[in-house]
This record gives sequence, structure tokens and C-alpha cells, in this order.
Amino acid sequence: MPKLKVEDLYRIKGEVLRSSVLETGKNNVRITVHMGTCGISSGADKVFQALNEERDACGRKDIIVTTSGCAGICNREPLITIEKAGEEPVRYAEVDQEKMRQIFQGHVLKGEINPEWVYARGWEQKEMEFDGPPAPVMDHTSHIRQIPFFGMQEPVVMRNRGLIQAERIEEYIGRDGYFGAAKALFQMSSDEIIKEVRVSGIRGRGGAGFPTGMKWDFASKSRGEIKYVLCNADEGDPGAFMDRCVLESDPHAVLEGMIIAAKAIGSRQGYIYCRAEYPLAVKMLNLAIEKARNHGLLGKDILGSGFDFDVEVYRGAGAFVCGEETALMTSIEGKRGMPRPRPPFPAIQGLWKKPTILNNVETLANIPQIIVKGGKWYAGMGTLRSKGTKVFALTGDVRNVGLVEVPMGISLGTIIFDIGGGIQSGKKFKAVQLGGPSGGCVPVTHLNTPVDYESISQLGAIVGSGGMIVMDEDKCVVDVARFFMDFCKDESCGKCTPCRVGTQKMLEILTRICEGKGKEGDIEKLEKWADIIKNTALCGLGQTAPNPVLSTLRYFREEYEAHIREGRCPAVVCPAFFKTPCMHACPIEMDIPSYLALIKANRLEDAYRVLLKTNPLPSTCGRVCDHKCETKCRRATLDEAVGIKTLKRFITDNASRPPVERQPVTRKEKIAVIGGGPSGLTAARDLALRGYAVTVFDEYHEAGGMLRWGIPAYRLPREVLKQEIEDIFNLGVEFRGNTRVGSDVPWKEIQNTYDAAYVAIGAQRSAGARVEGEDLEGVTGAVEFLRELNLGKTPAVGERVAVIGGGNSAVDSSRCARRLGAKEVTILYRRLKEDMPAQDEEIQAAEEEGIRMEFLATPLRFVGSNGRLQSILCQRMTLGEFDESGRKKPVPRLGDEFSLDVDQVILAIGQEPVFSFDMEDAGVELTRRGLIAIQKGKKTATTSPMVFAGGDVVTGPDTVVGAIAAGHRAAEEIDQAIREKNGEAPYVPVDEKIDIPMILEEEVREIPRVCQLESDCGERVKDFREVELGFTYEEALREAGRCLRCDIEAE
Amino acid sequence: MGTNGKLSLTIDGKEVLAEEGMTILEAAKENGIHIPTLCHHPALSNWGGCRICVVEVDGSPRLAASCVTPVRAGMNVVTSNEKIIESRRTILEFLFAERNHNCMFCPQSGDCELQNLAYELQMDHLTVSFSFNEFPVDVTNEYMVLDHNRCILCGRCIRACQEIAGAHVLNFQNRGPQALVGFDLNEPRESSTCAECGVCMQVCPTGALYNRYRTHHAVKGHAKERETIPSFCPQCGLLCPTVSFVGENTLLKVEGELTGSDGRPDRGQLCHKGRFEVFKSGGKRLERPMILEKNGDWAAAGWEEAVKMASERLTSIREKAGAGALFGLTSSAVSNEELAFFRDLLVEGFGAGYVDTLDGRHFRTVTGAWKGIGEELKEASWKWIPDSDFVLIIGAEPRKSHPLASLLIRKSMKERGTKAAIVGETESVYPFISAYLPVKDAAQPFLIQGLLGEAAARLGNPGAAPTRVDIPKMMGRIGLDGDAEKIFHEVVEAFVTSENPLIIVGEQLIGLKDGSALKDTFKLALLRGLLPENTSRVIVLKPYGNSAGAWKLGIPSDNGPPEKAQWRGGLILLNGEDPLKAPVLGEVKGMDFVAVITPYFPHMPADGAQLLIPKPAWTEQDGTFASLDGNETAYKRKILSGPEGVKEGWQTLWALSDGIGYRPKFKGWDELSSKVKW
Repeated sequence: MPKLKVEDLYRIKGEVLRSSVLETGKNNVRITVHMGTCGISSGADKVFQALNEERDACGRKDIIVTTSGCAGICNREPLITIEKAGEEPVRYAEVDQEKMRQIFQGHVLKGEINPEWVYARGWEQKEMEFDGPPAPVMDHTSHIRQIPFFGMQEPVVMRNRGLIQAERIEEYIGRDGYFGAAKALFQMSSDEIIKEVRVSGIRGRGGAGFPTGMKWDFASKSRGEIKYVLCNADEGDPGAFMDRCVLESDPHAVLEGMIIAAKAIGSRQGYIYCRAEYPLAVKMLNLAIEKARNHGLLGKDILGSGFDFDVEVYRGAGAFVCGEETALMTSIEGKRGMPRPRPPFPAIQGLWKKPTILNNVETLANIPQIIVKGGKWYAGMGTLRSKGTKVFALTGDVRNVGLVEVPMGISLGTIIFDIGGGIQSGKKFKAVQLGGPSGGCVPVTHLNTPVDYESISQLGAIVGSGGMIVMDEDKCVVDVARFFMDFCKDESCGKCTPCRVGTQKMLEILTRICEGKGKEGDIEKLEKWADIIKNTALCGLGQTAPNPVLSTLRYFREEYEAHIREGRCPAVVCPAFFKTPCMHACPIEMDIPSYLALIKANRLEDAYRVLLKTNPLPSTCGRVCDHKCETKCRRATLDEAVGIKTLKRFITDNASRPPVERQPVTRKEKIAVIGGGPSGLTAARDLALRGYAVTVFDEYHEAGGMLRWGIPAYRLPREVLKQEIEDIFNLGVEFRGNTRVGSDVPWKEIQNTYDAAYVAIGAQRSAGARVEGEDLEGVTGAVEFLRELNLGKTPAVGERVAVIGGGNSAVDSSRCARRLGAKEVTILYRRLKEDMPAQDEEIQAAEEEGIRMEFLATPLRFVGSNGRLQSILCQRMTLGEFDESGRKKPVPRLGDEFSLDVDQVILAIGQEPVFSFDMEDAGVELTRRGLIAIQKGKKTATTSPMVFAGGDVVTGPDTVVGAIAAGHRAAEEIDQAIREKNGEAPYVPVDEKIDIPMILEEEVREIPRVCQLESDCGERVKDFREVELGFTYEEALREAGRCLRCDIEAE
Repeated sequence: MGTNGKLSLTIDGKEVLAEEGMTILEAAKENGIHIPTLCHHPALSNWGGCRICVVEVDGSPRLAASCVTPVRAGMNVVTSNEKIIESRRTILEFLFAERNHNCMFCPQSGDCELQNLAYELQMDHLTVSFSFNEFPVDVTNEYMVLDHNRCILCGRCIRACQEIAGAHVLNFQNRGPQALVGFDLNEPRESSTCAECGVCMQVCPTGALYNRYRTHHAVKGHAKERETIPSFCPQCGLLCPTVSFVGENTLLKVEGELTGSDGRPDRGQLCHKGRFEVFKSGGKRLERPMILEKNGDWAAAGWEEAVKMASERLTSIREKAGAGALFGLTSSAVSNEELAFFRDLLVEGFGAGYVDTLDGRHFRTVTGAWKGIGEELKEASWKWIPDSDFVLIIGAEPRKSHPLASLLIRKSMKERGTKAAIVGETESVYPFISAYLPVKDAAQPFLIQGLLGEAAARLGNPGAAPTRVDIPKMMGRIGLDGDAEKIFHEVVEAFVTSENPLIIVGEQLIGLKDGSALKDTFKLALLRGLLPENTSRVIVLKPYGNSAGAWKLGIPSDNGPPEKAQWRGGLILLNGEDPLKAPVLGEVKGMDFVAVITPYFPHMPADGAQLLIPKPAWTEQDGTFASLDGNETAYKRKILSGPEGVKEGWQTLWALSDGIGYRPKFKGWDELSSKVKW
């Protein structure tokens, strides 16, 4: 192989470019299989084999089959690209052998494209724009740059992604490869190279972000005959894989960067320290080195410039610490890879005590282009202090998993939601771990943060090597911190005490917190040790090991506290806290697996008794609960969550209700419950069961609160609710309806007659829209509208109704309006459908009933004449930055307004409490939001010793089950306070023993969830009959059988 | 920059001067500022692992390990404040909590740096919970135990093994909390390449490595109550400096002079003999003179009575049977003083016809071999070993006789690529010895003749060898196969091409009565010329600790025992050896009177001697000893007191002189001692 000269580079480039253009009749088709390690692990090698077999079978020599590296989007592998002469390239994703054969037979041989299989058309690289018309069948297929995942990226390091075959040096040269090296060797002095790199502003991409130009400058000025250029390819962060991708698919870019670095500092020998776990990367590197040597691009007299430089690959054994520069050097020296103290810095005394620079793969891969295009070009991207682009490895619970190269300074939310497509499961985004185990997590409140070195470090995380692990709401931060600490503990080299022992000791604490054995003071200990470890550890590994703990503590301290103080894992992850995830997710910890098992055993009466243990209103909940249990059901990881809510309803619909006996009053204390909603009723029941005399006050003639006056009958039939409430009163609870405390009974009287009062008055008034025209006739609040309806009156309903808001009240109002005869009902919501707080099944039902929904719209003004509403002037909204909830904030699209003719507006944008007596008189403090304030560490105790409060009046509008939970807590705290005052022993609850069958399915197969029947859409909007029809016996059996019985401990 | 090439910095508010390149720790120490350390050891390289010595530099929240941070002009160092103390204490607690540091059960309690640090930092309770992990304990070695439960992974032992011993046997194994100090690739001690020099144990700051002969030695008192006695080890002639720690007249530990080793190539290392064997009993102590009674039993006697008996009986033999009937025999492991006095008394006082040492024959073989080719040459010192790139070991087993020499060879092999070859049978061969020709003593002459012939031919000096041996034939004759022939030629090649070869000969060769093989060996060495100062390239490993002294003093007989000795009696001076093993004596049974001066009951039949007179063991006596090459001497100090009433060897000799009216040439110990120094 003759050694190349500079002019040969131009020649080869020309040849490659010519040959890459497909010519009809000569080389009609080129099919590229993307075969990085990621692709191969998804089966790309088998696809490649199948493709070759097909090609060989058809005997066409004009079909070129080739390979390339990773195409960037991991969750869609294997990917292939088909180019035909004169046609726009087409990409297929998730190809398997069979699909490959069909694509070959169809697309390649017959020109028949199955559009359903096509992922995208065209090239990602802008300079590769296809000139001709798009393929005819491709009309409805996106160009790859129209897919946000690709379109929003700025490939610099990844510029050859999917384009070149790493094994062929010519293809690299064809993409301007080694032109940077040629320029550096022939046209630039060492100082000029360093200057260019300094101008580019590039900072070390390996993690620390040290300015590369400055590093080179030090080494260049350091005296010594022998100097080394090292490439750190010991990528070890969990969740980072960009270096591997570069090494596998574009290894020459790294070699070229090293040649330029060598010239800059005056080095003749380089080493690439690559982890042995990357066999393909090592293979590609060695192949690239061999080719480069053969072509005179490495070794003696490179390109005839007289400059000598050679590179060797040193395989690391996979110790995380060997990514630390001094440990890496010690390892190359043949010793145990342990860090050494600095100073001396490597630029002065590095490998074998010679001046050395160490750069990360990504840094080096940037260098050739900085030299070719100039530092200014590079500095034109990114922010003031963080220049250029950065590759991020986007993984975790995000929809699009893969490598993402973006300009520095782009917001975190853009990467996760726009490029990454948001959370995979449709759940809520919780946090993102940046920079692997040395980094930290960033919570939802900081999604607008620009991703640059400074901004990210201010949040307590680091850009690091670019690992981005996205976590949804199902991740427990303590568990995450424990995971990373476990990693650091295992990977500590053992040299310095703080790292070796400190990580171990911090892990012990984190583990015990996760195991439910956390102690008061543990958090403070973690903080103290983290501080000491950070400040006394020898190397970066130890100094950064506490970061995940510190950052999770910074943003999620309450989650740690919940583990330690409340015995709760809010994310329902740490198994020590619960029997099953569904139970832990349920605010009242209903014994779900037990009643499901009892359905299977056809013991419905027993199942009913299980329900009543924790839930006084099971039939109600079986209809209107927001079923948090189902969101944590483990079955969902297999197919779909078990339909727990409907199964609960099935029990109450089909079993006879257990008889209720009047409870004897055994205690002298009397309790007043103010507000007969679910919370008050629950507290009343619990207290009655404990032997107290309880009186429930309510301003209406019937109890039930929002269940009675808010929720429409088609969701919760009146009889169902009435029976459950009657059961409670039958225990001996006194109900005083039509009695407003304050006006009908003075507060003083309550104070004098009762020993404690539970205030559970809810939030009974709709919040205003603060929009002009709110006082027009025809504008009404949702709560008021629904209450009037449920009081049996016939509220006025217009022909054209608009409901403002996106919660359950909005949907209820709209569906009621429809039933009351409105011709056209429109929900106006300022965000998107997926942001609506209402339950998905309610939204769906509303849509089925013909409710229109206008998203990204908000009322500007209610327009009327003669005091009567006529239309709404609406503002179109657009989504701006992320708000604290992780949703994009709607902002007005100025000038984009529209008018909606309506004769009624129902405002469902919030609810607030109405106090019938003076809280100040009662000694109860309110919060700034006008809700009742609860004492720290308590759940229901207010600032007044005799007053307890719970439900919506404390939390703002919340769920039924939340209100029931508050009722339980109130009863507990009231009883506890009384007993403490009396010096009595705490109450011991009587637990009714119900034998639960312990039967496990032998084999778990995928079975879809059973859907309950709903009444006909056209019929149901005519009246208020129940919509959901519940399960049949067979359906219930089948659905209950899907329970995985997480409560049974496997042996 | 400061004055006089020094730079100035501030430590604890005080402006101090320090030399460039110094660490903060060194600068602080020089200025009387104490910073606690644990992984740091003055004889070892700086490590920076334990982080106990952290200090604050220029107010940075990130603390610096003072033992590895170089001083900088204008640097502002704070060595102690609340944050630093808190950090140190937490780190110390981490160490205590990591493994099972129960001082109560630790054989090193009272002599432990970790323990002392806990007192210094006033660690009265732990806020870090114990791990209670169980780690292995390596008890496979007879001298030392490695108990990982007490290890703090400071790495001192590893550094000592690498930097001082040059053995590179110890290193860290595993990562994180599983990290352990291990031998080779995690072998048990006994199957590893460790040569039990014990330097690891000496630098260990805790009880992770301890001496099995002296466990719990410090329990009764702390270091301050112990006496530390600098001295030398007299056991093989390398005269290694030692520091002995003694409490209540018990030897507690022996340490090498790691920091003050005076440029010795061993850097203050000791071998297992100097460090551990001293704790072993030399035999049953002889505490009073014993007289053999008619019935064959020993009866205790008074010292005067014994001396009187010896004087009279020995004089009477000489008087009755003449000088030829009386012999004197001494060990070469005793001091020069005793040797010289013994010879004077026997020759001039008693008029004995024959005086020799236990290693007399070795002496005569060596001097005989040099005769005619290099009597005037000095022997090479063991200190040349590190300078040599090829060491040829012939008929010697330095690992057993002169362990430190063998350790130095190994260090050179590992660190400098020195090659070493062994000719002759030996028990221990390092796996990395480049050539090994295991031949029996009797076969050596042929092989050495072959080596000499080939080397002379290769060096173009065939005249230097008397005969050119037919190598294949010779190999066959000595029973070595074809592979050995290749090795043989490799040895020749290495010898002739090396820059600075050394030949080490030992007992297997110099113990032969026929000196021709040794002579050929000397000739072989001379082929490669001399070392400076008229020094041959040969190191002669002599049998006893002070053989070189005895030989230089001319104690051994030049001619050896007469063909048919008519000995009727004699006086034997021992250091615990078996005199019958000496080729000189043969049989003592049936003589009229033999008296033995010895610290222990001698290894000889009871009727071989009629009188035993005790003397102190070597640890209990002062005295001068010569180095292996005879060119240096060292005055070994007494470390322990001998048993009550036991007179020193020279005092017994003095009394014997008195008894026969012989006048020694000196007035007392000091004069005797000063006379034998050279």
C-alpha cells in the first residue's frame, strides 16, 4: 500500500463521491444495515444475513449491500436505509429477518413500498439533501428531519452517523476525513493549532469540562522530549454510550483528532484506553489504526509531512475509576489502576512521568472539524461559556432512546420532551439524572434550564459525559440514590478512605431507608458525610460520589422523610413499605389482592367485608375513584393494569351488604363532624366504631357532600350512595341536616357541647375566571351548576354551552349540559388534551357523547348584550416554557383570537372553600391560599386543640379517596388526642380475620384487560342513568384472575 | 520566592520557609507543627490514601492531603480547625467502622498507630455504625499473620514490599469494600513468592500484620515504657542494623533501620532470621556449670569449682600427654573478642597443640583455592549485588544462609532485569531465576570446569582454562539431559556478555575438601576481570555469622588436624552449634576431659564432654563482628541480660587464665574490644 500524500486525499475523496452516486443500470440500489453494537443486539446481524441471502438468491450484482454504524435512535433498531438510483433514500425501522425479506422483494425488486413500515425518508445530514422529487408513495411519510428526534439535532461529532462504513478509510476521507490533519501538519504551527482550539472554546467532553485548548497549551509548554497523547475511551457511566458509538462507527475521527493533538503538543506516541467491554469498538479502532498506518496516516512521516505519530489501543479491564485520568495512566503503565494525587498534573508529569494530555473520545472527534472549519465556526454554536454541540445519551423512561447531539444551551425540557418525545408510559416526568453516578438529578421544576456546564452545575448536577437518564413518577429517588451509591461503592478503587468507606457507609444508610429502617438523623448524617467525602476524597470518583444523594436530597427531601417518618415510599418502589404496590398507592391502603382473590374464590360476601375494613363507601369508590392503585399495578409491565375499580364495584353490586349493627356509645366524649361529605362520613363512622357519640352537621338535607351534589347521577346513582350513607348512620351516628354551623348553630355551642370537631366542609364555590363579563347572565360556576341539578332543580341550560376548564368538574358539567338538552357543548381548555387533569375515561366518554373540545384556548372576554351572554372572545394559546408541573405553560398567541357564540358558560377552573363560621374565632389559622392550615407533623390537627380538619378544605379540590383517607386520619388523631389527654392507652383496632386464598397461577400469559360495558352513546345522553355497567360474573372472574398476587411472597 | 532558595508560606498563621518540592507535611514537621498521618511513612513513597492528614489550603473547601501536596510560595495552610478536625475524625471513624478493630483482642494493642490516633483525636464513641464484615485471616506462615480484619488498606506494606524489599509480592486485590491486600495473584502467604522478610509487618500501622512469636507484646505498657536498642544482627555477616525493642528483659520486636540505613542497598530491610528467628529458642538453656558424674548424670556445680576443674584437668592433659594431646575448638559465630582471647588462652596459656574453628575446613578450602591465582584479592561485598546484571550462584543457598543477599538478588531481577543462574542443588528457586542447573556436590567440579572452559573460549582466552571439556559428554556424565545443555550454554552466554557479573559461592562448594572446583570458579570469575580496589567478582557465603572475623583473625588452623590426632582433651567454645558436625573433630568420645563453654546444652553425646560452663546467648553479650567480606566490623550491643550468675564468655576465659596463671594481653573488656577492631 503506497503511503498517501495530501493530493491523494483529494483524489480519494473525488473517487468516493463519484462512486457513492448511484447510476441506473450500473449500481441501481444500495442497502445499508446499521450495525453498531446497539443494532446488532437488536438483531441487525441477522437482518444483514437475510439481506445478503436475498440478494444472492436474486443474483443481481447491481444491488450493493453495505453496513454502517449506529443510526442514533436505539429503540427503533434494527434500522436499514435503502437508496435507489434517482430516488430519495428510505429508512425502515424495527426490521427483522422476515420484514427484511419482504422489503427486499417488494421495495427493492418490485418498487413496492409498504408505507406502514417506513420510518422516514431522506438523509439526516443537511448537506446530503436529495435533489429529485420524493418517492411518490412517500407523500405521507416524514422526511427524517421532520421527525423532531432528528430534526432538532445538530450533528457535528455524529456528522457521519449512518453514512459511512467504519471499516473503509476511503469513506471517511470522502467525508473530508484527514483534511484537518493535513491542514494541521502542513499549514499550521503548534501554536496556531492550540490557538484555533482555544478560539473554538471547546471544553472536555469527558465530564470535567476543562478547556481543551488550555490543556494542550500546558502540555505544549511543558518541557520534555517524550510526550503522550491519550484518548480516554473508558466510557463507564451507566447510561452513557456516545463514545462507543463514535469509536464503532467513526474511529478515524478520533485518530485524526489525536494526530492534530500530537502535532499541537509535540508528541510521537498516543494510546487509546478503551474498555474491553467494547469489543466492536476495539476491533474497529485496531482496524482503523492498521488502515491509517498502511496509508501513511499514522506512523513515520505522516502524509509526507515529516511528522511521526503512532497510536496503540490499550484495553482496560472495566474499572470505572480508570476513566479518571491519573488512574488511567497508572493502568497503562501496567500497574493497578488507582489514581495518584495531583499536582503534578499530567501536562507536566503524566504517563511514565512524561508530559501528557488526555482527551475524551468526543472531544477528539470534534477537533478535525474545528481545524477544517475554524474555531470561530465551532464557537458560533452553543452559549457564551459552553461552546459547540454536545452528544447526550438519552435513556430511561423517555419515549425516544438514543444519542442526541444538540448545541449547548438548549433547554433540558426540549431534549426530553421535544427530541425525546416525553415519558414513554404517558406517566409524569419526575427527574433526569445527568452525568451518571457523578452527576445529580434535576427535577421537573427546572426543565427550562439551558444545558450548559454552568447552569447544570448550579442545579447540583453535572453535564458530565452526557448521560441523561430520564425518570418517570414511578422512580423512587432514595432508591435511585442508593443505586448510584452502590455503583460508586463497588467501583471505588479502595485507595482513599472517604471514598472506600464513606460510600459504603452512605450506602448502608440509603439501604436501610429503602428497607424501612431509616432513623431520625439519617438525612443529616448523609449530608455531613457527603460534605466530608466531597472535600477529602482523592480523585473525582470519590469527590463526586455523593452528588446523587445531595441532589435528590436537595429536590426530594420530603421523599426521604416520607420513608423515614411516615413509613411510606411515595413512588411505591421500595418493597419494604408495602405488601403490594396497588395497596401502597391507595391512600387508604385497601387490601386489593385479598378482595380480588375472594372474587376468584366466589366469596363475594367476604370480599365485601374486606372492602369495608378500610373503605366506608366502597360501592361509590367502585364507580368514581381515580384508582391510583391501577397506576402502580405490576401487571401493567406485562400487559395492562388490572381493572381494580370495576372489580370493587362488582363486589358491591353482587354481594349482599353485610348487616350493620348499632354501635354502643362507650365513651363520654362527644364529637361534632361539620360537613357530611366523604371525609366527614368516614371520620364519623370510625369514631362511632370507637365508641364515641358523633353528630354530623350538614347544610343540606341529605349527606354526601360533593358525592351527592357534585357528581352526576350517571356516574354515581343516588341509591348506591344513599345506602352506603345509611349504613354509616345506622351505626348510631346522628345526622343534623339543614344545619349550617355558624348561622343555624353558633360555633360557641359546638365548642361547649363537643370535645372535638372535625371540619370537613370541602370547597363549595367555583373560582372565578377573572375575565370581563363574568357577571353576565348565563355565566355560572360548575359547582353551582351541578349542585342545582343534583338538588333536583332544573338549572337553565343554553343551546350552545361552553365549559371552561379541564378537570373532572368541567367534563361532568359538559356531559350534564348535554343531557339537559344543550345542542352544542364545547370544552375550552388552555392546554392540550394530554394535560387535562380529568380522568381519561371521562374525557373519552365525553367525546363519545359529542362534546367538542377546543384546546389551547382561553376566554378573553364574555360578550353579551343587555346583560345576557352572547359569545366568548377566546385567545388562542401556544405552549411556551415548562412550568413547575412539567407541562408546557400556555402563553397567548397575540393577535390570534376567535369568537365562540354561546348562550351559557360554565366555569370549571377551580374551587374554593366557603366558611360558614369565623375560623379566627375558632382559633383556626388559614393558609395563604385560604385553606385550613394543619400543624407540622400532623395530618388533621389545626392550630386549635379541639378542631381537626381534612378533605378539600385542607387540600383544595381532591379525590374522593383522598377525602376518605383524611377522614380516617382525623378519627385517629381525634381519638389519640383525647386518649392522650386522659392518659389512656392508645386504641387497638379490632381486626376481623378473613381467610384469604393463597393460590398463584402457574403460568402468567398476556391477557388484555376486560372492559366493562357502557350504555349506548346515543341513548345515554337522554337521561341520567348510569353509563358504566360493571362486569358480568364471567368478566369479573377473568379480570380478577389477572391479578399477579404480589402479596404472596415467592418462595 | 523566599530567601536562600527557599520559599515562604504560611502555616497556621505563622510564616515559615520551606524547600521547593517539599510537601506541606514535611514543611510543617520541620517547623514543629504536628499533622496526624496514617498511610504516610517516612521510608516510603508518598501515597495520599488515608486522608487523615488533610489541611485547608488557601481557604478552599476542598481539603488537601498534606503528605502529597507540594508547598507553593505564598500558600496559606491551616492544619487544624473545626472542619478539619471533624473531617479527620469522621475519616478515622470510617476506618474503625469498616473492619473489626477490636483493640481488646488485637495482638498489637498498645503498639498501634490507629489506636494512638483514636486517642489523639479523642474518639470516644463512633457515630458511624460498624460493618461487622468478616474478612479472611492468613495464618499460613510461621512468623507472621495477615489479618484482613484489622487492615486499613493504607498500602504501607505494599509500598514497603515494592520499594524497600523490591519483592512486588503484595498488592491490592479487588475494589471498593472488597479491597484486600494480597500476595501475588491472591495466593495464601505460603504458596506465594513472599520471602517472609517482614518489612511489611514493620511498617504496618495496625495489627493487620503481626509477629506470631510476640503477640500482645505491648498490652502491659505502651511504647514509652519500652527500651529501644540500636544494634546489629550478627547471624550471617551482612551486619544488618537493627532496632530492638525490649521490655522487662524480653525482646518484643526487632525492626530494620528503614530511615537511617546509611545508603545500604537493602534500605534497612531485615530477613526472617534477623526479624523472627531471634525469637526462637536456641535450645535448653545452660544456667549453671554442669559436671558429668560417674553414673552419667550431670550435676550442677559452682562457677569457681568448674573453672578450677577445667584449668586443672586441661593443664594436666598437656602436662601428661604433651601439646599434641590438647585441642581448642571455637564456633565462628562468637565475637572477635571471644575468638581472639580463646586462641591466646589455648595457644599461649594452655599450650594446646591444635586450635581450630568449626568452619576451619571451609577456610582452608577457600584460601587454598586462591593460592597462586589471587591471594592478594579482596572478596566482593554483598553490596555489589544491586550493581550486577548477572549473578551466578554456585554451590550456595543464599536464601537459607544469607537471606538478605537472596532478597537483593531478587530485587535486582525484578527491578533491573538482572539475570541470575543457579548451579548446584538448592531448595528454593525463585520462579523467575533465569537458569537452574541442579547438580549434586560431587558433580560440580566437572560442570564448573566446563563453564570455565567454555567461558574462556568465548572470551578468546582459552589459556585461562586448563582443559576444554567435551560438554555433551560432561553433561551426560553428571546426569543432566539435553535441555540442561541449552541452559548451560545460556549461563555461559550470560556470564560472558553481562556487563558486571558476580559469582556467589557457598557452603556446598567451599565445604568440599577438594578445592579444585572452587579454584576453577575463582578462575572463572577472574576471566571477567576485577572490581575496583583489587576486588574479585566472588562473594563467598561463609557458614557462620562471624566466619570472616575468625578467618581474618587467623583462628582456624592453616593445616587442618593432623592425620592421626592424639587428642586427650580440649576446650570448646560454642554459640549453640553441634560441634560434632564440624569436619575437624569427628569423635570426642572417650577423651579424658572436654570442657564446653556454651549458652545451651550442646548437641553432643553426654559423655563427649565432662564439663559444661554456661555463657550468655548472643543477644545477651556485647562484641565485635566482621562483615561477610571481612572488610568491615560492627560492634553489636547487648540487648538482653543473661541468666543470673552466668558469666560472659570472656569472663570465663579470664578466670581460666587466672586458674593457670596465664596473663591475658589486656586489662579488661574495653581493652580487649579495642584490640580486635580493624
